[in-house]
Amino acid sequence: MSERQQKKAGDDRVHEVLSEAENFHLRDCPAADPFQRAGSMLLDFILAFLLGSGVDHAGNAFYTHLINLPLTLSFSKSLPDTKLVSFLVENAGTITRVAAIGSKISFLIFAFGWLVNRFGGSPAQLLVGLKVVDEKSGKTLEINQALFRQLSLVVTFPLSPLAFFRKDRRTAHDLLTESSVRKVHGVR
Amino acid sequence: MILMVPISPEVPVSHKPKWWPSVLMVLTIQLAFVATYPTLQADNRYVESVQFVLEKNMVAESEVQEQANALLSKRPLLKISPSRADWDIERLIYGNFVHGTITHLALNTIGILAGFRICTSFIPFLCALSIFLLGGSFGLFASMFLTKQFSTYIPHVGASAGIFALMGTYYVYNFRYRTTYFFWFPSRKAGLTSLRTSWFFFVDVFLLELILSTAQFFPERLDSVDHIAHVVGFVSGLGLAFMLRSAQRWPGFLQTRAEFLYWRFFITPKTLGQQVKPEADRLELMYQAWIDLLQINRYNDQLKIRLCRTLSSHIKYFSADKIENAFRYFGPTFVRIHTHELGSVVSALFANHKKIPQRWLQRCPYDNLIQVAKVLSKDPHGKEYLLEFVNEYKKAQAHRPELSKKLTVLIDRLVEALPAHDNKQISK
Repeated sequence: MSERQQKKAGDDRVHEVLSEAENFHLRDCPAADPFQRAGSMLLDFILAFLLGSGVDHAGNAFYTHLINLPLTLSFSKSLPDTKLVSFLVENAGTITRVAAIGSKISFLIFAFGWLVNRFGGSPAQLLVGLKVVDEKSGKTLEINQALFRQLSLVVTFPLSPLAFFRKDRRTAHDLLTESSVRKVHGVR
Repeated sequence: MILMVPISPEVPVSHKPKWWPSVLMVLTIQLAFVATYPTLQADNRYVESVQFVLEKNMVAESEVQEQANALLSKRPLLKISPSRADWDIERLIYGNFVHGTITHLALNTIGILAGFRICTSFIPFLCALSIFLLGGSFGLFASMFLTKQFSTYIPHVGASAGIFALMGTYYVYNFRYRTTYFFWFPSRKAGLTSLRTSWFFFVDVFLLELILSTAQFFPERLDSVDHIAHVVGFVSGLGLAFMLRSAQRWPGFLQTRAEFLYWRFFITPKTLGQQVKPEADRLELMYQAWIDLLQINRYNDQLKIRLCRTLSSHIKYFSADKIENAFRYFGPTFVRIHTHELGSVVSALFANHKKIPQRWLQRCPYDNLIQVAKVLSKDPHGKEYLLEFVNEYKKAQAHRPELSKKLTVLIDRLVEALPAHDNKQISK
C-alpha cells in the first residue's frame, strides 16, 4: 500500500471511530417523549397536507395549461404535433389526476423516507430536536429501512399510541424496523 | 405553515419587534374600509344592475364586452381604485387600502399586523411604509395589465401585494439569520423554536403563488385571488429592500438596527482597515468591534464567524482572557451550524500552545465534541491535535464519571486509529 493510500486508510479509520462514537451517543440519548412525537407527527401531517394542497393547486394550473395548449401553440412559430396536442387536451383530466396522486404518494413515502435516511428524521422531528436511529447501533437508518419504516407507519398508524404504554417509548413501526426516536438536542 | 407562525428575528429581548407600527397600519386600513364602505355598496349595486341590463337586453355575444365596458367605465369603485383602462398614480396608491369584502380585509389585516411588526424591527416605520406602498402599487399595476379578464374596467384592490413586498424585505435583511417561530404545541423552549430564515420563511407560500400565478394568464381563472400581484409585490419588495440596504451601506454581517447604528457611528471601516499600525492595534480594534457588536446581539452568527476568523488567523496576538471572552459566544447551536469555523480556532489554539477555555469545554455537549473532532480529523494540521482536544474535553468533564468512561474508550480507539506521529500529543 502506498503512503497516500495508507494515509487515506488512516483517515477513514479515524472518521469511522468518531462516527461510531456519535452513533453510540445517539443510541444512549433518552427516548423521545410520546407527546413530542405526537406533536411532531401532527406537524408533519400538516406539512404534508399543505404540500398535497399545493400539488392539487399545481395540478389545477397544469390542467388549465393543458386544455389551453392549442391557444398557446397558436402563437408559436413551429408547427405543433396535432395528434399529441389532441391526446393531451382530451386526457388532460386523467394526466393531471395521475400526476397529482403519484406526486403525493412519492412525497409521503419516498421523500420522507429519504429525509429519515439522509438527515435522521422528518422535518418536524428535526425541528424539535428528535432523531430516528437504529435501536442497536445508533446509526441513521439505511434507505430501505427508512422507506419500510414510512410504509409501515402508514399501515400501522392506529397502533401509534403504543409509545405511551411502553417503557422504551417505541411504537409498532419502530419495532418492525428496529428503530427508535431519540431526543438529541439539549442532551449533554 | 399553519403551526409555525413567524414571531420575530432571533434577537435579544430588547430588539424584539414593537406593536405600534402594525396596530397603526391595521387601524388605517380598517378606517379606510369604513370610509369606502358606501362606495363599495354602491359599486356592488351598480355591477348587479349592469348584469341585469345586459341579460335583459339579450345583447349579442360579440357586443357584450363592448357594452359591458361602456357601462362598467362608470362604476363608483373606479373613483378610488385603478383598472386597466382607467387608472392614475393616486388611485394606484389608494388601491392598497381598499378591500372588497370583510373577509378580504380580515385576511390582509393579519398580514399587515405580521408584516409591519416584523419589518419595523430592522428598518424605520417610514421605510417600511414606503416599501409597502411602492411594492403594493407595482403589484397592482402588473396585475392590471397582465391578468386576462373579461373587462378592462375591473378594479384591482387590496393590501396583499404590499404585504408580499414586506415579506420580500424581511428576506433581504434576514436571509442569513434565524427566525423565531411559534409552535402550537409545547416543546423544550415553551412552544418557540428558531430556524434558519433561508430554509423556511415564506418559501412555501411564495412557490405556491408562483405556480398559481401562471394560471392567471389564461381566461379561465382558478380563483379570485390576485396571484400575479402577490408575486410582483414580493419581487418589488426584494428589489426595494436591496436598494434601501445599499443606500444605507448596511454591511451584510449586521442583523439588527442597533448593530447597524453602532457600526455606523462608533466603528468606522477605517479603524479596521490597513491604515492602523501596528498590526496588534488593528487586531485589537477588530476584536473589540466584534465583541461590542455581539454584546448588542449575541445571536448574530455572522459576527461570530468573523470573530472566529480573526482569532484563528492571528491567535498569537490574543491573551487567554480575550480568548475566553470570545468563546463565551460560541454556543452549541453555533457549533452545530458552523463547525468548521470553530474547528479552525481550536486548531490554531493548539498550534500556538494556547489552552481552550475550560468553561467552554464544560458547557460543550458531547455531540459538539464529536462534530469538532470530525472537522479536526479532516484537516492535515488539525489532525495532530485531535487527541489533545479530546483529552482536554475529558479533563473538563472529570466531574461526570459516565462520560469520562466513554471518553476514555474513545481516546483509546483514536490512539489505535491514528498514525504513530499523530499520537505524540497524548503522551505529554
